[in-house]
Amino acid sequence: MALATVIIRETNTVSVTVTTATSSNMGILDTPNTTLATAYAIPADSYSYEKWQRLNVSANASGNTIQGIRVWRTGTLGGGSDTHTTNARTAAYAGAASYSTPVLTQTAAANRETMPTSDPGATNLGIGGTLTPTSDGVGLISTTGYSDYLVHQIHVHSSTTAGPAAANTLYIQYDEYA
Amino acid sequence: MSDESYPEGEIEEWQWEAHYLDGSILYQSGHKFKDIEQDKLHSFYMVHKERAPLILMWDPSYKLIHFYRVVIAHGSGGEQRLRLYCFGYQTKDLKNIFVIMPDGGLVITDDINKVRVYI
Repeated sequence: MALATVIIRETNTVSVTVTTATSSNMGILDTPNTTLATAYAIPADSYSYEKWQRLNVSANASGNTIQGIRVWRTGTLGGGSDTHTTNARTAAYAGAASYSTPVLTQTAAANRETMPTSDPGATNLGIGGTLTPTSDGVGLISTTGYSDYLVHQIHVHSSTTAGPAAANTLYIQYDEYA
Repeated sequence: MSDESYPEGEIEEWQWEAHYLDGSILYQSGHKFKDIEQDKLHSFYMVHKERAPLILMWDPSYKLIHFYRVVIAHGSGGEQRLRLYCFGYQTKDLKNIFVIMPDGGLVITDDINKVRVYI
């Protein structure tokens, strides 16, 4: 029995380019797997480009079930008042976000909730627009497919001084049932 | 269990075996978890090629639990992944989940959400 192949896919630009993401570095560049470089640093009183990322079950020969996605970040942002916001939330989930070309201004899609800084303890990113799987197969992936978009964005406060921030880590967790 | 039971490319570090009351064994390789006939179980094994097996002695009141918890981390060093192998049982009144951690350590809990993992 083979486990499902699950990857993170990121969508970018007006061309809706979809790429496998193996990093989630954020800056003023709308590209996947962004290199950490001063040129892409987020200035004070500014926003990063939104990230639009999904969990993609790209192969699933055994028909395993993927569900229970949780997203959180650990680490400290650059300044005490910087924020990292997202559409991921454990309650009052707004459903699946429809892709919109990423921008580096504040957006409603990415600013529904502060990104949890530890395991949120419950599903906070949906599948098919819902956090809770149902018996008729909604809210889970049992063949191949995508989760809802994880949309997130960083705001650097006006008081933050220029310089590298401490390393942060974005976690995406799921359960797989055979 | 022979090496032939672990086809290259499909190796899971820990695999289950269903040991039945009549002495027969259903191996994970080539079967799905739902193929296990729980009413005929004697014991449920989680086996590893280099470690002693973990064995759950069966009771007819049990309902078997088995799933994987996968964590993907995107940090400064790129992507890292780990997988927790979770198995156990549930009855009308209680649930026990045994969580095999990446270092082979075993955590026993009634709620998988109490187990927090960071890379």
